[in-house]
Amino acid sequence: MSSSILLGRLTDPNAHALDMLKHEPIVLYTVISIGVIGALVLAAITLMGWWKPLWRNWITTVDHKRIGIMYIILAIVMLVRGFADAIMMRTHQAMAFVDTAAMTSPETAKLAAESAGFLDSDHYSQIFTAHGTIMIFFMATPMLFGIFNYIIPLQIGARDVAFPFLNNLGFWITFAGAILINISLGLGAFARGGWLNYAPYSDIIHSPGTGTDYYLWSLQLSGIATTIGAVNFIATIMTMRAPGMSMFKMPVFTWTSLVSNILILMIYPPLTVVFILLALDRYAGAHFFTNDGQGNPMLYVDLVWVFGHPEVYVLVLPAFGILSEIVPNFSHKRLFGYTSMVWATLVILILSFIVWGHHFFTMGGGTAVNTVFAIATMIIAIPTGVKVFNWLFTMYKGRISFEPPMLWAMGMIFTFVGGGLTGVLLSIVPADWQIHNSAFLVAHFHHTIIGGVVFSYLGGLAYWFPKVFGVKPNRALGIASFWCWFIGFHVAFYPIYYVGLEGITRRLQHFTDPGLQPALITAMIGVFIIALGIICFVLQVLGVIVYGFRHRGKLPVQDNDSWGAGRSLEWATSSPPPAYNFATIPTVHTTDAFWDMKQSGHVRQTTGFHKIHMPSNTAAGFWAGMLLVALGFGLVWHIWWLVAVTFVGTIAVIIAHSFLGNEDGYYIPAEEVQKTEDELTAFLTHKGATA
Amino acid sequence: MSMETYETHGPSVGKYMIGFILSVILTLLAFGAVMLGWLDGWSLNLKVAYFAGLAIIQIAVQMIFFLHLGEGPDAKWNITSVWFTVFCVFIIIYGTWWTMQHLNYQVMGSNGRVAVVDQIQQLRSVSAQETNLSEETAAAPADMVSEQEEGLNRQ
Ligand code: HEM
Ligand SMILES: [Cu+2]
Repeated sequence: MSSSILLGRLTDPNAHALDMLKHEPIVLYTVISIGVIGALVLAAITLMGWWKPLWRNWITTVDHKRIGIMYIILAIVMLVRGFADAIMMRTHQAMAFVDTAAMTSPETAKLAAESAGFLDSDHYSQIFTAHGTIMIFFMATPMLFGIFNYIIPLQIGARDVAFPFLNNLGFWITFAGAILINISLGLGAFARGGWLNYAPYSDIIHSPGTGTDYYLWSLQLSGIATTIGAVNFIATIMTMRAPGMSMFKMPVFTWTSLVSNILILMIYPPLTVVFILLALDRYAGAHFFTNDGQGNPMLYVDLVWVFGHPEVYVLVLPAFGILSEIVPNFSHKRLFGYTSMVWATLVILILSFIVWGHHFFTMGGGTAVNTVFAIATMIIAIPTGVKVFNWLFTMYKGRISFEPPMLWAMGMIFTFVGGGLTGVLLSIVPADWQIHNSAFLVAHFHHTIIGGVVFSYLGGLAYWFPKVFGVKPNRALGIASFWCWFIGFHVAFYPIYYVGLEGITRRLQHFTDPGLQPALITAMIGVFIIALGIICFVLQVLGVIVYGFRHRGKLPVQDNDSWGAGRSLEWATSSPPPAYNFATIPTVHTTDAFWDMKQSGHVRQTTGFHKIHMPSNTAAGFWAGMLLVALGFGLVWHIWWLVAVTFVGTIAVIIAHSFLGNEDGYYIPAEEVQKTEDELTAFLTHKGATA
Repeated sequence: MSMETYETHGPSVGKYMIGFILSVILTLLAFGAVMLGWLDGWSLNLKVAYFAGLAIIQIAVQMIFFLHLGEGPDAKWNITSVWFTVFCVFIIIYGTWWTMQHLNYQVMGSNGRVAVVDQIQQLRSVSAQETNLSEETAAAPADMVSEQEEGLNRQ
């Protein structure tokens, strides 16, 4: 070991700091292009003189709407990043076929098989780990928190979240985690243990490199951010609802978000603990998950799935909520079975928490354990089915308008039911013994997570887009994006079910049965169709950036009720909403509060506003996030002085914030509120509307 | 909220003191047990129960005396969420314990298996002494070993 005090392991040849760059041209060119693009962006910001507005309006903001947008941008960037990995895996797998049976000696056959395709096995392992980890922790979760942030306070008629500074801090910690995990692309290596990095593979003997350390610390950051975010939203929903909005008058999206956040508080602490224990194994020679020293790797598998299974429900419950907003809106009917929706959500909360054992049916559980977990898993299909039927009944005899959000919703219902069915199949123990860890499983969870979660989130983005920017996104691009995703998904994943049943296991770098190659080539084509969908989506986003650009960052006020059939309170305020959301906090009488206002001829208040209290911006969250990147980096490379300095620094920044930060906030004067509201009034009178 | 709301809790200085003293006593009971070897003769399970019990009491003490559980306008919600937490922690710990009980034996080389191997080796050395054979060549009587294994399988 030749680690130095100043640079830690970075200078240790055994730690392979630059190996990936030296030996993997793909990595080298990626890092170079990221560097070039990054430099161009920074240069552009400097040339345009945007640093100041960027700092004042975005980086230091505590406005939940802006933080939400930042979360979603992070998620979109990570979606592209994770998808690049997926394309690489699928093209590689389509190529990595060798007919070893036709070869003369076993040695040549082995060599030929391993060098098929363009990724070597080590790099392939890093890519599937990067893909899974980034998609779950840095794509889906930030996208979820982006939507939470933007929509929840608007839906419950609040001016902000309960803890605005914590919200900003949470975003920057998530950002820090995303930066840290992406540093491992260039310096060191990515983890190779899959998205949950099972012990004992992830212990120091089997994975001595830096990959697992990067994984541990960046996920630890993401976990902390998610936990404080959840505390914030639970407090917001419980305490800041508009007068009259009792629990059973909350919009369904708010309900599912509340439950999802409760679930986060139930499962992220075990994840944090299990990662701390693994870190102790790796850094301090403990033996929690080793095979010797009285440790037990199965304990890691158990605890990590205590987190891992409910996590997919953390992601999918709000997706159900989004659907419960979109479907009534575009069917022009009220949601069928509101109460059963809420109760189904609560039942899923409990059930999803007690099924984690279905992830180790084949790992020696025995009859009793497997039966209990199998039955609990199957029962979840019931409340989920309730939800699906409620959406169908909402559409039944409705007047459906096929706008992009509705397309996503209908695509979700169709696809998710299929994924659910294969899930029930996997929950049957004897069936699982056959297909466990096969490509069938890969197809199943992508079926639910793309068909259920990603479709809903993209639908949600399309649905609330006009609320955020005042204009609808390009409709043709939206429709094209949906159909590319929808068709691409089915082309890409049905062949994977098939090859799974034929015996291909997950995480394979090469194959020796050429008969299965056509299926994987089909899957690859499917992925390229999805790529078109992503391109259309990114073009929509670019479109709005250009639009915002033309208005120099101050978007004109537009119609509040963009789709014309809004039901919940977010549609009561102008699009985009003013900083204070609601000039006067609305009073709620029924479930569909805004619908009720429209029905009962409620007249919008146009004069006599009061000054409004708002929280002040702060840079503390940003600095804490940057220090945490350095902290994680120091831990990965054993640069202990950096660890000490940044650890103290992070705490100091937060303490300093509570003493020096402007906790009293500031007031928006009544005249300014009046001016802002007048703009909306002018727009509405121009349009001839009343509400 | 201003400082006054806290000060109306005036008598709680006394509560803090009680909480502090109880915490110190509970901590000393745990440390003393190890440092002074009070529990030396106890079985492992009893020791675990002793320490876990102290920890749980300590949690309760701190929540009641320092975090004012059960006081103030939010008492109902606070107590509800404490019970919900207890429920979740119970599911995680009991579920893990139960699952691990069953997984233990089947995982190669885990502590469960090691324990069985230890026991088998004990049996072997006993039978080796009895029959006066050297340890390496001694084989435990087949029925005794399989009885052990069955016992664990049945758990
Ligand atoms: C958009 C199209 C996507 C494609 C084409 C795709 C493709 C793949 C492929 C090829 C693998 C590796 C399978 C193997 O080698 O066994 C994989 C694994 C995985 N994917 Fe995706 N994926 C996509 C989207 C997503 C999304 C949206 C998520 C989550 C939000 C996700 C989460 C995962 C996870 C968790 C794994 C497991 C990684 C591991 O083995 O540890 N994927 N995906
Ligand atoms: Cu699961």
